Amino acid sequence: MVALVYYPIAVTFSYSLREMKLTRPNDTDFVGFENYVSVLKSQDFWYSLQNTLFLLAAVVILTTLCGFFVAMILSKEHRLAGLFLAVAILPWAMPPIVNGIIWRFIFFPGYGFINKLLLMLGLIDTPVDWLSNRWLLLSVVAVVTAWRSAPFCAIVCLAGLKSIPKELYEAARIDGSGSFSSFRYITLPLVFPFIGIGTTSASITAINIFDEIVALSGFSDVGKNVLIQNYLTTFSFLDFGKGSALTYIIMGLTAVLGVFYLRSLNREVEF
Amino acid sequence: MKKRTALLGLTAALALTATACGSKTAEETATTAATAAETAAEETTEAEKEAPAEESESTGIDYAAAFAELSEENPMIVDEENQVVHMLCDINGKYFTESTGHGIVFKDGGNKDISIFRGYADEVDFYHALEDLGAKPGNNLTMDDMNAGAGEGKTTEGDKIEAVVTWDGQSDPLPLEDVLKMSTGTPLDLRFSGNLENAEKYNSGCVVCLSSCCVGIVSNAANPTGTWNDKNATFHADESVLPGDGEKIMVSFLLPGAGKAANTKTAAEPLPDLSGIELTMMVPDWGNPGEELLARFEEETGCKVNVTEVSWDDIRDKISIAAAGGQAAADVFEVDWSWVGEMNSAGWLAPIEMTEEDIADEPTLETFTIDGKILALPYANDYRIAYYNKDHFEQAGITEAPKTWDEVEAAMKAIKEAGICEYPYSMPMNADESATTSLTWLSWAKNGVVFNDDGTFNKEAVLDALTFENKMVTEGYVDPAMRTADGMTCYNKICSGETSFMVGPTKFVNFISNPEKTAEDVLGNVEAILLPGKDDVSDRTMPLPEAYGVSAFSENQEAAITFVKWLNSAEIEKELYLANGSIPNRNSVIEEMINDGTIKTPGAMLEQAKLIKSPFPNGVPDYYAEMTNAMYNNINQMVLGNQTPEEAFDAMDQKVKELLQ
Repeated sequence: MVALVYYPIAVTFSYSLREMKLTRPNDTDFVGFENYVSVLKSQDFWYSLQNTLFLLAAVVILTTLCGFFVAMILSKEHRLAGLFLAVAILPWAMPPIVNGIIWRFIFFPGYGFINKLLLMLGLIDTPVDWLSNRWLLLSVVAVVTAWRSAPFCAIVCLAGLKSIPKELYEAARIDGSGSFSSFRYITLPLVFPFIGIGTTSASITAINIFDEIVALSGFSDVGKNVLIQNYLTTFSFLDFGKGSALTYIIMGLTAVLGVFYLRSLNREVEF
Repeated sequence: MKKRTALLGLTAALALTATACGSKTAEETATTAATAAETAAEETTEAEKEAPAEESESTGIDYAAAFAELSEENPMIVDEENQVVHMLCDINGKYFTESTGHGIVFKDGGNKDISIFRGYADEVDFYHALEDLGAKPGNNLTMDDMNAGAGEGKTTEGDKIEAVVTWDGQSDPLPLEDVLKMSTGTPLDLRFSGNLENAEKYNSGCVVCLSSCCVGIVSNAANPTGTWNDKNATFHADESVLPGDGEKIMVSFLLPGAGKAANTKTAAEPLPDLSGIELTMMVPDWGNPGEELLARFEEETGCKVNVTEVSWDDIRDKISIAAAGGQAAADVFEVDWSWVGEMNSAGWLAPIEMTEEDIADEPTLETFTIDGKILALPYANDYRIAYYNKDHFEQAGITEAPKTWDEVEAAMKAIKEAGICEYPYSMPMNADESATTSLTWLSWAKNGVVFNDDGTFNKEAVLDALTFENKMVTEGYVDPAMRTADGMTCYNKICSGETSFMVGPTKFVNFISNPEKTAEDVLGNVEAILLPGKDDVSDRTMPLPEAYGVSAFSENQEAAITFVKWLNSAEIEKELYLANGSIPNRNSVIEEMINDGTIKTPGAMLEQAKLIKSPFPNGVPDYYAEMTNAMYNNINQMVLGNQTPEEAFDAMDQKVKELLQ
């Protein structure tokens, strides 16, 4: 634990306080928090942070809604329930880079599947360039990522739905409760902690998006998030000092998010 | 593709890790190794014609010594090491004014008085000399073929032979065709025709015939049989070049690869004993020399090399992380041309000494040379060359290949307007490295400059190139989908017939003749030509090679340098091409492979290789990664219509000036 976690964290912090541009190996002076200030003043950081926050919101919403919806369908007793479950899980098993490449073909501006479909249906006259506009690209990235992360959310929510005792629904029905009331006052409160787990997972996935963006738009500025910016700074521009500072800033932001989720998970459920 | 997974911690217990995979695929760099023995003489150019004379100083052939050694008693020297046959001849002055189809005839042969040169060596001995050197005869013509009428003649087959001439006072060899006056206007394409049976039967003494022949040991494939019979062609000796009647000269017959013995010295020299040493090598799959070559190196030196295949720019990450801790990620590793500046500044590469001959033979070495230090040895050559679809051009009424960018633009207009091709120009414009290199070579070829000596952009040249690119997009000559497509998608359009002109990687020279890569109706229609320039064809092209470097932190630096020099030798470069498709960096090897048919449909490949020059006046800068990031993003924004060429230039210029500060 010390060697694999705490030592790298400490070394990264020490890098973040020094000049660490690898093309200037003799210039490794202590600079205090200058790297942090430089990152926070950088337009690239704020631009990539905006993209990250957009992706975070979009992926969490899409994943949660889709995951819960799929879980509701899968929770119904059915002969083919097992098959549906297997099919629903498949995207989750997909490596992110493969996922990105597949969707790149689907959204390819010239001969992509979506464009061909829309052209065939007469909804568009010329192919749409899905991957060149910032918000369109980010929306595509969000859909692609949600497609991969929703199955996990669905499985967790399904587990939650299956764990609700049937007696609760029977008692509610005897008391004159309708379907919506049962859903509102029994299903939703009891499955809420499970949704919280799915949402937490979706948040981590959203902040960690890398492969899908690279597969869809490379290292272009248009769709870069903080992780891409971090990679570019550290490994492409070889500036380990600023890269380490950016890593710590990202860690700080995600830690805040983590605490928020942990608190919400510990909340007592009332139904 | 680049693959990177990242974990960001929710708490301090989660640390950032990352892995990446590169933007280059194996397909992008690995080329198909052509193996057919079909020759490519049709593309012989003026520069190729002069090659023997130009290279004489750098080859291992000592013409003056050979000429001094020849005598009537010793009329022929067979130089096995250099793959050359030297023959003593004299001049028949009659043919300064009269015409004949006989080039060289043995002095005791039946045709001894009707040839331009009289050879002192027997034609049958000459045949065996060529055969002993490994040349393969054509033997495809018969006496019936010799009576062919106009337009019905056949051409001789057989291995290509270069013939050069020297004499007292002319120690630098001249190509044979430079001492002849030929009405055909076509360069000589001499072949080892063979014809031993007929030579012995007719005893004509014919050594060299100037048209395809069923008797001459060597004859000219550029002229079909019957050329001389119909008197459609005239051949004279050129008295303005040659010495007078009866003077002795030496004609040297060079086989493909002749004279390269000196250049292959690094491979031929006994390698040092490196027993007990184990080297590590980290390269992408296309840079793996293969088990056979590694086993051979181990056999010759006792040194074992362990290869780890790593995706292209994971290599860079691994090298940088290891180097940050003062460690070698591997003794030998991949060095892309674009990395050399930063790796030099970071002190990660050990310098390598090379001979002047090697440097002259490998123009791409310049890219890996900074402050006079050679930092890596190239193994995969790539330079920009133009490709055009002759069929599309001809349909638009254009019969010649474009020589200037104005001609390219006019051709694109004509082709598009005629409805021959919807998007006749193909150019990478996505926000990635290929957009940067496209702008760089365009400015370099079109205007002769990209960067000023102080490292800033040359505004006039670069802005002009940006404007040209933008115009190609706004006029609708480029497929808009290419604004977000990778480079290979753009380049492959020439093979599918979806575009009429492009400038692209050298490996497409092989692709355009490969039915697996090129559409059936496009095969044979695409030709590789010199890059267009401003007023004529450009006198330069940009190299984009990949190399093997030796880690400055390696504990086995000497052994590693021996290994990469061995891989870089002419002999091994050719084998590398056959093993993994790496296009050689030595012009001598490219020439040899074109001559022996290993590289098919080369077009202007060799001629273009001789025009390789680096666009970076002070070497590739160590801030290249940041510069290219600014370049490709702004180019992409321009072609998407979000910036004007001026705005794109200003943004790029500002970034470079910041980096220079």
